[in-house]
Amino acid sequence: MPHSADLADLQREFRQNALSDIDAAGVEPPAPAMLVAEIVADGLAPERRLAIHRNHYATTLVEALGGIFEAARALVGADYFEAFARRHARARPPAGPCLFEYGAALPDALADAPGMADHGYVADVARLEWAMHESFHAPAAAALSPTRLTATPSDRLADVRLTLHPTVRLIAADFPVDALWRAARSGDVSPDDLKGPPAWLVLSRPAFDVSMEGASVGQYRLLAALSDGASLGQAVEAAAAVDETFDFGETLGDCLRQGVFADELGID
Amino acid sequence: MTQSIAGAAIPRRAGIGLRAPHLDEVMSARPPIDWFEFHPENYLGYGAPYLYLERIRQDYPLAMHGVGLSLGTASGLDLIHLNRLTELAGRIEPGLISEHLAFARIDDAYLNDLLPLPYTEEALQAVVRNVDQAQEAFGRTILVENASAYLAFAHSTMPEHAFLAEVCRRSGAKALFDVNNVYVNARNHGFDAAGFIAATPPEIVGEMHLAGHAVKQLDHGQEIRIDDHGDHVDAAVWELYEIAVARFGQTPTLIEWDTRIPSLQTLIDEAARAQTVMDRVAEGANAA
Repeated sequence: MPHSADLADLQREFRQNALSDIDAAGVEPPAPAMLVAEIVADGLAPERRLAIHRNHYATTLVEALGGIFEAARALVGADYFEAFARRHARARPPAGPCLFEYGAALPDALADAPGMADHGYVADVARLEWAMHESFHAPAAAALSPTRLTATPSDRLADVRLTLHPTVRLIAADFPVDALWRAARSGDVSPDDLKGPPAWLVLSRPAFDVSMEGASVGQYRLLAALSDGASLGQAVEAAAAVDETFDFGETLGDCLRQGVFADELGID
Repeated sequence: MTQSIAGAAIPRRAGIGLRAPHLDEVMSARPPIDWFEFHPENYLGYGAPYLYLERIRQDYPLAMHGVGLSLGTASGLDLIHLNRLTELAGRIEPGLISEHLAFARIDDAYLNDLLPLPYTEEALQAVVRNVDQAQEAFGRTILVENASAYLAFAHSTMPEHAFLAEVCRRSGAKALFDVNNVYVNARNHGFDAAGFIAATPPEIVGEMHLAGHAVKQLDHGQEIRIDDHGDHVDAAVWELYEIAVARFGQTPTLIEWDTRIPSLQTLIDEAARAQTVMDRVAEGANAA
């Protein structure tokens, strides 16, 4: 048979194959015509051969997502997660070849998935898990040493701009999302896990492992403001406005101990 | 303090893949292994995995084996990804750099798979163009691995072994000869695996891979072999490996076990078996 498809067109049909799926009625998608014509059957139909590749595309992505979002998967159940993740993998294919960079869009997509409207806490757990994943894969960097701050004249302190350490992630939820995360991973979830005070969490990775610490609402607001580009003075004001127990000296000490600032300090 | 061997050449011995569950053990316990191979795509964030890699490179020769560069793409290499790879290679100084004779990307879509190429002049030119560009960027020759394929193209004009040899001849790249992939393809597409070895010029082979595969039963008593890297090396593949060592000589050989990852000791034992084959062939050659 004379060959008519050029290599690029053939490869585009592989793409089309990977991103198509069995429909709601269980019917296999039509295989790309050019590919089917070019593939040697030899005992196994081209459509079946293409199905192996189509399946592999989705399966490896679903496994990668399942590894990152273990608690969310436990909360919705393995079957629901797999079906959802397969749709997600086809609707939102990876933008690059590094699998560890894939999954940022999952929490929001899960929030909008069928039946999830009354279970917003699942997406919150997924957001926490993505933040932990990002922290794990964020580049190592030197943390700000206390001497850089003590070396700053006290009348200039309010004008200081700090940068959060690249491994830091901030998570806020209106329920104890960290407790629910733990419970889901241990397979021991109860409705009580949704009750309790809001959570303000600071994630960081001082060495090889991600650490998660609960913060006061004041510390959280301080770090969020700094992350948004506020000066230290503006960030302290924002923190004090939401937290009447906010103590700058104590909070600053906590932050330096946790290594949440990068070794960069600017003064306006 | 132990002398750092960072940047060392890969010895002509058996090595194993560096897998995430073993990173801490390898870094802390420094088990007896001659060399490791890592997938760069896991380390490009320079996050925690890279911290392990930076330490491990002080104690072991490392080879860099990419999966995402897509040397077979018709639409040109992803230069951002190539740049990230060359930067990592600059920092880690791997003893060998390799990629696959397959495509994983077309236009800007990533297909998260190693997809097959037709063995045609058109595909040859696309691959050689990409290999040339990669070698230029790395400033050194790379190795290209023969991939497993679950389909064959009717319009191929040459056998797979000829495609591999011609890529190497035109680009100066070496071959990463995956014995398991040769076996899987030979069984799936009906050619002689030993013949593939016999037809491959020994001087192009710079490394070998060994891995396990799964046999899946289909309708009508048919079988297909799936290259899943999830098991011990098959007995038939060990036989082929001995033939390959006899022809290609003592060659750095990697045990690839990427799914259902076993204990580190299991991988060490599998590598020891490959080393036994190499030693036996060497003895036989010396006695001759």
